[in-house]
Amino acid sequence: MTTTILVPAHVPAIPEMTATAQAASVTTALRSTATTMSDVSEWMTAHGAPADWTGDASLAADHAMTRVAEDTDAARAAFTRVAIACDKFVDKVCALTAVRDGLVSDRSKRNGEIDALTTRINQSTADDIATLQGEAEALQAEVDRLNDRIVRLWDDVEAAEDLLIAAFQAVDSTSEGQDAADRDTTDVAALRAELTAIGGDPQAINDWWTHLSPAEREALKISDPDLIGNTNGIPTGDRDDANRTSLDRDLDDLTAKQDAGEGLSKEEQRLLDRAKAAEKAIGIPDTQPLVDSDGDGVGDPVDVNLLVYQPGAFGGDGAVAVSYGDPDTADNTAVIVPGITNDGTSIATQGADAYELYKNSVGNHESAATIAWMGYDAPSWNPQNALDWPGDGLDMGSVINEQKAEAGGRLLADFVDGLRATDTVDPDTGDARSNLTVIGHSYGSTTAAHAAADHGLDADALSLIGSPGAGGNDVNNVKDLGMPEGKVYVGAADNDFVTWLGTDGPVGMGQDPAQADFGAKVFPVADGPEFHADDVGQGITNHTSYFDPVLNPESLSNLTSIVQGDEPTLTGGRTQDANDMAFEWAQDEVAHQVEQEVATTVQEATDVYNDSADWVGDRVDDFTGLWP
Amino acid sequence: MTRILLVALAVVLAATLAACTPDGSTNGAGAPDNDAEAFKTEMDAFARETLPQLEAQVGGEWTGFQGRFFEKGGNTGQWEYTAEGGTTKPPGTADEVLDKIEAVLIEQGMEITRPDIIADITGRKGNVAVQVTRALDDDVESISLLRVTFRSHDRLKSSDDFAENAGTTDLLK
Repeated sequence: MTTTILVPAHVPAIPEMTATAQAASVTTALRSTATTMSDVSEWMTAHGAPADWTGDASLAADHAMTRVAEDTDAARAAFTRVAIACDKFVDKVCALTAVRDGLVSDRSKRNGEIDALTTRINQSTADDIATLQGEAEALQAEVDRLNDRIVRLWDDVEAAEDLLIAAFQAVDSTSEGQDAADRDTTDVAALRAELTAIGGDPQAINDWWTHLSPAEREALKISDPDLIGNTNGIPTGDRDDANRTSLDRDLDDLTAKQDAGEGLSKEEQRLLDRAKAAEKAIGIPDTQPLVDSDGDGVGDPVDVNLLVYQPGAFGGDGAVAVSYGDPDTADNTAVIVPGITNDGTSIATQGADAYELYKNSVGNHESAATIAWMGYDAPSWNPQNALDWPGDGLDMGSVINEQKAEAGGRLLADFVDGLRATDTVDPDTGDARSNLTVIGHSYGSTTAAHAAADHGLDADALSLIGSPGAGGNDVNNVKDLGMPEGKVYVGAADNDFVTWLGTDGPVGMGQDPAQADFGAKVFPVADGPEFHADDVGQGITNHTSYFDPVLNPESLSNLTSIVQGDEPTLTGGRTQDANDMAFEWAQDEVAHQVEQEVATTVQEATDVYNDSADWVGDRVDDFTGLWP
Repeated sequence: MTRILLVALAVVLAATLAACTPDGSTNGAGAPDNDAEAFKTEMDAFARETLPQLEAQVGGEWTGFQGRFFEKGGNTGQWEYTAEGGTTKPPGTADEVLDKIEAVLIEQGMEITRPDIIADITGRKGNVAVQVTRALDDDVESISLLRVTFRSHDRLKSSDDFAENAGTTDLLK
């Protein structure tokens, strides 16, 4: 007798969603267009016909400008509406993508169970029939529930798309745009004034921002992207929205001008260079896959946030900060403070280091955000005074004093306060605080030390690498930095000549933090090859390798541990004074150069002697040939 | 004396870094100006020859490997050429996967360090370095995602605009 057990059919593959979080780029474009409309409308409203126009021509011009202002405001209102709708759509798509990922995982599990049950049935005896029958029915119920959830997913996707389409259709004519503008009661000028009145308290700013309506927040991001994107206390996602709007605007405006054959002024070219550098930094993770935590066979996307974008700041050097990961939700956050020679154009370089640290930091399954923070005026070229050397043009002259580090320290402390204010509660652990580490490199370490000693840097750990000094005459040991006990770490390569500069007094930039008696925890790094004065490039390599996985994996590994909140490998601090290391190098260098000079002179004399001997030999041969 | 030395060092540092910026006229180490271009040619060829073998031996779908230059340290005139990519869930145990990769790299004439400090395998041939890393620390039995990075071992010191303007090169094509 044959018994039939009905095994559920395999759950068919769940197609990829056509909409992805990449749709956010459309929102950025819409917001950028709305910003342009807003600027035009505001300008038209604020300006009438030129003052020296009179009579009918003046009146006609005023009327025409008013009409244009109204029309552009209608367009601005329409773009604002659809930008809000797109934002909501992207949020929905992200949520539905997570639902789909769960369904894909469940499908794989159920199909595996179906295969296993089929195998057992094929190997069963009559005694197993009842049990297998029961298991098959239970599995069929699970499969039915899964299929229902898949149907609901696509219903939700369709509903989200319908909402978006409806939002576009609601403002797809001039009159509907005008109607949207008339009903738009958001007073952005008043909101701007409120924000300005709060001052520089990031927590107060965050409280104020979170109490605004979504429409008010969107209106401010469109009318004042430069303000919203660079105010500490505004949440990371909103800062990113606003700064990408500004970046889009700059790239569009300047490349359009170039494409039209118009030459860019020097200032515009500098602005474009910084905008392109920011764009390159944002794009670093696009081509480098990461952990495939959702098991869909594709590396997880990285949430990149443009936290600061002020390409004209600091006399044209520019201020930019890019975060790989979202610091508002990350378990671990690192802020990397670069040093001399850096400005807005080098943000992609700093971004590459930050992303290297990010990739290693998420290896423990915890989320991370690593931020390349070029938010202060590091000693570098000042492009506006490029020919004024050695004055302001080469502002690296200021590397031998601490003024920029002192000013940068305040900006860094404010930035970190902003990160603390926007940190959100982790739904899994209930913990609101990200483990936050500030890593100062080179002159950036002096800046970070000033942030700690002078401004109460609110970080959990401070790491100083390649440091020329721990800032200020008042910092004599690690306790003077005011950081939590045992949470100041130092990495210093012996052949990094910048680390030989640490000294107190009017010339130095503070104590060498790698000294054993300074009291910081010193972790081992690769020292790099010794170098001579005629190969200072090697010295620079040694100074700029602390994040390099090939040239200095020891350093990168230890920095990763610190960012993850773990202890790095520790080594004893230096017992030789930093300046003595410099002095010793100089003495050796003098001896080396003298040896080189003597060797060169001996070689030259030998060459002259050999040439002369050859010449004499030739003449002897000549005469010998003539002699009978 | 110490003070004079420190000022001298600081000035040398500033002047050297300035001279090494892309607009400068020297290349810091006496290397030929076109070493970035020469290295790009060398590494692109190496990666294009190696990647198909890795795909064939290891299996799985390989993505990424966009070669591009990054200036190291910021406006120093020192460049790194790097291309990173990888594959998810390569079949076999972690050891089997790494063995296959090591074999391919040895076949390509590389000297192998396994394990290295931060990578599972580092291979080196001339100035080309290849690092192979499991993305998750606890991928002991099998590998969820494997990162493979081709990069220049030593910095490229170039005073011309080649590195800055090279853009990206898709090395999987």
